[in-house]
Amino acid sequence: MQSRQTRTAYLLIAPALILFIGFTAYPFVWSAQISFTNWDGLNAVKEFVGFENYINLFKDAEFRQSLSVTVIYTISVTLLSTILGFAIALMLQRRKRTSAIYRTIFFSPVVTATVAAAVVWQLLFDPYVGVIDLGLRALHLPAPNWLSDTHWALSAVIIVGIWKRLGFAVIVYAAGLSSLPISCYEAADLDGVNAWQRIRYLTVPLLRPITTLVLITGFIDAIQVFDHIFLLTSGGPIGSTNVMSLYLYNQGFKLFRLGYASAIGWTLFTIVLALTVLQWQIRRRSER
Amino acid sequence: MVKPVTFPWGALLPKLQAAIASGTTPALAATDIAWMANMNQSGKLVNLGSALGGIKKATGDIYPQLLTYGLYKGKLQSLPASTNNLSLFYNKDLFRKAGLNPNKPPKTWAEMRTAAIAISKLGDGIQGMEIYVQPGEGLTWQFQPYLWQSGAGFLNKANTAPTFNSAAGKTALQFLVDLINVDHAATAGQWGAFDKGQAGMRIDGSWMVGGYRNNAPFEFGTAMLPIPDGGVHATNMGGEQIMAFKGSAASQAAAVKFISWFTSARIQARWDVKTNFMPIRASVANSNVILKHIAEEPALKAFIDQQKYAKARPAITAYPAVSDAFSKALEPAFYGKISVAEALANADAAVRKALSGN
Amino acid sequence: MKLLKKFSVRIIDHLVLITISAVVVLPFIWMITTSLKPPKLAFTAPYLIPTHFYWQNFVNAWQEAPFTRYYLNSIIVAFCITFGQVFTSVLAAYAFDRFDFPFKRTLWFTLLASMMIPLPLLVIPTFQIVQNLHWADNLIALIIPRCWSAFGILLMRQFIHSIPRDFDDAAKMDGANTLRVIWSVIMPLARPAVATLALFAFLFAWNDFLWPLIVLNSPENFTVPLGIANFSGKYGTRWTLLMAATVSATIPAVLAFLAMQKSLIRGLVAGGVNE
Repeated sequence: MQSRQTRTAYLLIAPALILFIGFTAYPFVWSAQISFTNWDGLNAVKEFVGFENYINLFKDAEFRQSLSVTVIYTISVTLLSTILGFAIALMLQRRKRTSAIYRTIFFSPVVTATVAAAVVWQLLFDPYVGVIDLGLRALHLPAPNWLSDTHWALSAVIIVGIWKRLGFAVIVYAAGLSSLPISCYEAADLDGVNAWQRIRYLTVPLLRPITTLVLITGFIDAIQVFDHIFLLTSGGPIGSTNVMSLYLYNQGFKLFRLGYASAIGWTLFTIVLALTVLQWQIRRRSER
Repeated sequence: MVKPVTFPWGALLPKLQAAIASGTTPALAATDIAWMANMNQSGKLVNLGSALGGIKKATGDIYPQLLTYGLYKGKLQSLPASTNNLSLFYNKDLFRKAGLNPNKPPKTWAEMRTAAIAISKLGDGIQGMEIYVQPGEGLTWQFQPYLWQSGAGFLNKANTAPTFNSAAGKTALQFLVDLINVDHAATAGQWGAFDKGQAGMRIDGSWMVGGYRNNAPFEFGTAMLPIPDGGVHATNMGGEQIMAFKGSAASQAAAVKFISWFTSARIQARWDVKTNFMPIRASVANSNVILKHIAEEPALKAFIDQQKYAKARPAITAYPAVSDAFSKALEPAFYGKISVAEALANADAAVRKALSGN
Repeated sequence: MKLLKKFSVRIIDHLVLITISAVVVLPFIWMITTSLKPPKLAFTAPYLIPTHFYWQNFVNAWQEAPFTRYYLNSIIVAFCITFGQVFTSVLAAYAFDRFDFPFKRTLWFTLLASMMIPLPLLVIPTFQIVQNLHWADNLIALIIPRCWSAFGILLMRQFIHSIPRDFDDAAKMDGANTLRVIWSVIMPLARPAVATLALFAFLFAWNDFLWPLIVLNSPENFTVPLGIANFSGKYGTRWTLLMAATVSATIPAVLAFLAMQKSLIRGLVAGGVNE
């Protein structure tokens, strides 16, 4: 009986498992091996160089900059889109009649190909004919040269990142809110708590699983960002938007330093790993 | 069956590189001359010299300076598909508005600077001169003419060491940096202001002529690149090489046949009319088709006059890495973050490192 | 007084929502307006509502690039991936939830941990694998590696876990084998979770850019994002044409998605709630 169950189980897992091994596990291990060579992808020669790529990586100012840009981008986009999404969902809950229209609007960037959106944002960010700066100037506010200013370019790509991500948070939170037990709310109403207290002590804790979902998927999504930055700034000016995926792509597929690029990838993985472990620890402690 | 595929400029080399690595090369390809060294040493290119009955017969009256990219260890591995150079584009409408003579484009750096300042005074974010400052080969290839004009070099003859970190090199970089940070006649930022009628001048290639003629929201003119006092005429040579990849006898023969047809005087003349590229052969330059085309499109004259001053970029495999390192080191100088001397010193160190293969 | 307060809350809500909505839809409006401008007017006097209707931009854009083809490719890829992920995820999730087998915990942990691997890291070796399989420049290379999803298995397992085993047992009493149980008992009950997974898979496939950028060569194999990027590389300076291309590549898809929105959101609701 037991062995038959095992066989059935493995047969059911097989399709996913084979693809996992072939296109995730095996390349994952292989990329570790590549990261210890100086392979250029052109010659068959793969010279083993030990930890040289990793040592060079930490001596590489461009990489250090890339690291900090990635961290700032990831945190900003994930946190801001989650908070804003939550706030919007709360308002939508009060505005039942019109909420469908708003939800549709907020969701449309999610279904737009990022690349296509980036092309338009490039036009919007134009310092002279772009509608953003025209608007700012009309309001007598400073109108930065968004994509060309080292102080603003990262903000610009973060804005696009939030624009793209917001709808997801709104929809998931709206769904979560509508599923909250009404009895809780009614009880709270009776107790005469104000709106802020209700959100703080009732809604937020009840929605914690959803917040975790939105934050974790958002985080893993944002830390790998490539598409719109590739098109908007290609990482510039002076590397101020040079996120790690972009740096990896340029090293690997433009300069053919596959070993170095793989070392970048592994560093990226290590960061995700460390933060995930940290998040587990925190959650475990808070559950205790 | 040979299938045509086109790529945007930046994406082709990675594709070919990957194809070579995996042994899935196309039958033939045309690629930017800056990358020919990488193609040449791949060992996958067909020897066109022997396939077309000797180098002499294969090349005919192709300009000799265009053959440097195709010859590798005495073998002809590719032929020029087109050639071109960088010259000066200027916005005649803005020249008029700024009180400049739209039929007298600047001839010297000093005149260019005066014109740029005058145009930038028009306000509304209009730049006098648009300068390419995004790192990558784009920056390097736009900047090299300034180096050469002021008498500096890029790499030494043997392509083993940088030579741009000199007094002349500093003059060249300082000129552009000052246009941005002292005269405020240019902005360090994204490329494209000239296309929108937001910049008075820009350096670019002849392939832009057709697009501007049909779409530009302004009247444009072209001129040879201005030069500094006591400087020399110089521009960068662009272009593509066409090559066949080793494969089955049939595909190789078809590819060689296509190359021979494509580089023939008759087809090249028609190609140049369509693309506004420069002739690769004397017989094309003197053909009626081309002479008529130039008469109809006066903006091409500057490019034809400029072509003889076109210099080739180093044909070495480290060039992509060198160009990348060079441009990244220069970028902060354009934004005024570091001094010109510092930028060139950084570039010198970075280029040496790239040349050494690290 | 209370009424007044309620009314002012409503006004503020709508003001905030409308402002944010305006920012969100701005790119779409701008895209449409610019796509309808005559090329020579592309950069003069920006305006929001189209006043010119220069349809020639669309004719030109479609002549320059085969958007029908891009759409077709994107749809093929997205549908295959969606189907593949649902198929592999439901089977694996069922096994993980209902059966005990050796290495179950290790495998489960490994699969979940793989969600942390950044895709750019996998791109370099996966590209070599795809080349060795002679899949380069083929839609298969986009589809097969993406036909499984750790997230999908996780999502489905959570949902299946909430379905009482009694349902399986009842079906088994009637002589149904495991596949039969999955198909006729689990699948109908898990429909909301399947919808969520399908949405995620479809959107991911539809938006994917880096992997197609590296794998695909021939324009006839391009997906919509790649087609747009290629178009932008070639006609970057011709904004009206580029915007016409972007509109062609975006608006129909957005409308199609929004038309399906109800069922998509219903799926998301279920997915989020059964966390």
